[in-house]
Amino acid sequence: MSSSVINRGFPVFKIISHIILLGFSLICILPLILVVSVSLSSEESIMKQGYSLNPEKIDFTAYKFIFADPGQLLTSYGVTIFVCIVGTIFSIIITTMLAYVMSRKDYPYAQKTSLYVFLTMLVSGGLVPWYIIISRVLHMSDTIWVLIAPYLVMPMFVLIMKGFMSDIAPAIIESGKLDGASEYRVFFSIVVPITLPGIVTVSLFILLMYWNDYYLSLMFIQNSEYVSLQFLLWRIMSNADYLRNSVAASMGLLQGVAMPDQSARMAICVLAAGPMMFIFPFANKYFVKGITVGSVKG
Amino acid sequence: MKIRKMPKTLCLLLTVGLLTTAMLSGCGSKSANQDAAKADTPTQASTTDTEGNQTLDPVNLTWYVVGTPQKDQQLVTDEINKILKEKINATLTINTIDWGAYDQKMNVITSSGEPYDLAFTSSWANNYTQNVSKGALLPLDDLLQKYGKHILEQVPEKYWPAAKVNGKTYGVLNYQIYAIGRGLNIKKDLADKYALDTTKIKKYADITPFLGQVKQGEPGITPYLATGNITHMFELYDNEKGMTVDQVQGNSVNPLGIRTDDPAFKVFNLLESPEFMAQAKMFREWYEKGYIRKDAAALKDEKAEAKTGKYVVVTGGYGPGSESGASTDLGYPVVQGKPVPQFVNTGSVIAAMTGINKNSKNPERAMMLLDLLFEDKELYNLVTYGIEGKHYTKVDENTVEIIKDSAYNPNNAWEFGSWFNAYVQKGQPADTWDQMKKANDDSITSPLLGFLYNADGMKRENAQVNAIMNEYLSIIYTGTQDPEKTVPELLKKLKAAGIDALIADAQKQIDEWKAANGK
Repeated sequence: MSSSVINRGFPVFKIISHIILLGFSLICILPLILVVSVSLSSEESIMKQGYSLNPEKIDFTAYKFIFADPGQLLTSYGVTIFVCIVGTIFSIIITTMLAYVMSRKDYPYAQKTSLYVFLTMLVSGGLVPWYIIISRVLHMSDTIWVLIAPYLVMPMFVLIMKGFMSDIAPAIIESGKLDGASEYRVFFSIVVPITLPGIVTVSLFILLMYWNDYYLSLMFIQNSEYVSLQFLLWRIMSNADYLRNSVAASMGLLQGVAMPDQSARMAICVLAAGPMMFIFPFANKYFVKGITVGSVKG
Repeated sequence: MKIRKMPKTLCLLLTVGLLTTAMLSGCGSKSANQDAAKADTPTQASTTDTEGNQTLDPVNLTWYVVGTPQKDQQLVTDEINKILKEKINATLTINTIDWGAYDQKMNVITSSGEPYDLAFTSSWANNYTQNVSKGALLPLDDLLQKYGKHILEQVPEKYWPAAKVNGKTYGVLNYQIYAIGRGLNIKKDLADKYALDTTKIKKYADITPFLGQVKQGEPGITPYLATGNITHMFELYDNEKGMTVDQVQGNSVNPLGIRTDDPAFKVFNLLESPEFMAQAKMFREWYEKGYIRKDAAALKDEKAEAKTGKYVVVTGGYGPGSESGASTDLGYPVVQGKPVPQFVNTGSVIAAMTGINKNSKNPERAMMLLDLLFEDKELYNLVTYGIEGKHYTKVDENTVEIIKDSAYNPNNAWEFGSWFNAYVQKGQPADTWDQMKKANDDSITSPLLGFLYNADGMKRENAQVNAIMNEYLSIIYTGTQDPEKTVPELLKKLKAAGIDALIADAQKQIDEWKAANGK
């Protein structure tokens, strides 16, 4: 019986490695499936049986709870998508240009510019001055731009970008110039195509940053037209939490309201992370390249 | 050569970019600017005259409240403004900030010196004492005398000391339920089965025989839910003797206490009292007899556990309507027992207040608005329930039914003036507010009402003591270990953490407070 398995030349090693890899991918995938299935379980069954991969009955209460106001949810998706697209485009343009200037060794202030960008990572004005500037000096509260402008230049991303740019041999730029290209021509026709993997990688970082942000909405948005998706979800959850646990509730100020808890959390996960999971595979090609771009190539 | 020109071009580009952004943002925030401009219009000239409304200049008041932002807020605000325009020639902007974000946001708004007019402040959200010490709130004593006639008429005098800091009132007390009650939520079917008379429950120990019956007759079900999640100490007094001891820091895990019959208010460690040892032994007995789960101390989420329905007796709040409230909350019908008398302390009175901002341009008008909310039932219910026919329907003169899924149901009536001005909701007894007032009147008022311990000087000791208490109370209140052994150990640890210094500090503060208030 077993003699057929222990065949000469049968790739035992291959089987073992496949099992290990299979196990590894299960470890990666199972939590995601669990999140989805818990979001589809009823609160009651979670209380009684704990989390289960296979909910005994599909229950949409959690989604109903979150979709109670579908108009707001759609608006918020719209806001977030707009912010992501516009924000990422503006941000990557500024980041790339800034990083390019910093990477040019023949630019006398390159060092100083780098230091200036780097310093903002170490020291900041603090929350309150930041708030005062945006809300009372620039009067940007309650506009869509307040969700974009504060994150336009992230020093971290500029420095990563600069790393990509520094790999370009000065000779390439020189050669372009010898052929009569202007600075813009050099930048757009030579530098950008060379660093495209880097640009896509950093764009993805920026996109994720805009997608995941709830803090700007938290601080500056009152008007529900400009509430971003993450903030909306955060708000649903934190309000539910608060109503359940607050001192006010224990003092009898709030009336008892039944709300799904665990399942709603998971449903929020699905809604918040879902769209990004579809974007990742498409950018994956560049992403891998982007990570290895700094390393030595043959 | 050409490189030299580069920075200039870039500069130009960046400048243009910045300008465009500024322009865009400028366009977007137009309405906000206008609002700000409106609020900034000076009005000092008019406010001296209170009699003729015609002489009041139009102003806009901004009010920050905590809650869930409502879709139809603007609609309701427009209606509110119609009333306000006529009565005090003002308009109102209500800014509702989410529950979870309120603290953080108010902190920033206050620090940035924004000239808002009114804000919800309390012991648990937008902290009142911190606001006072930051100087964010205006002292209101004069304004209250001048414009707050109805407020002073309605909120009983005995509660005002709670809002006083250094002899001055910085917030208007919202009139709501001040009494805190502790309840035992008992599963109704089993209470009926064993013919439990809840009126006989006068102290925690009175439930013990019932727990025994359940243990005997109902296998597979835990009689009492205890968890390791401790938020406050169990009260050390009962209905028979009334409040004999009180905690210096309100209901918390902090063990500093006084005896109420001691006119000197000598501060001591409650854990050293015989009452505490007796209580600890009761929990130990419950544990040993199996009324409490063996792994109780490891349980963290009390609410979630209670909802499973695997327990017969769980602790909760007690007050008017709390029985039906707990039933909805837990998902099964319960009856309630009241093991300790209802009480009022500083924290429970200042649980809901409205403060007037120091930077407010129109504090007089803000006070008039508050007074109006106490006086004008129509206005108050408009704020609370929205527009009749659109957001609620009237069942009878004083009862309303909220229209389901309407775009205005903020459910934060207690944040505006006097809760007792509200219509009752369908399903609530018609005399809900009278019951609540009665609960306020009947409850025991802490002799320390008005005193708030300030831990600033003893932050480290206080934090350490509370951390140790948290750790040990979860053992003691679940009966996991013998209190004869645990309590002395706990006392020793507290000594090492500096509880004596804490006691001395609390004593000093109480003495000062007593001297200042002539107690």
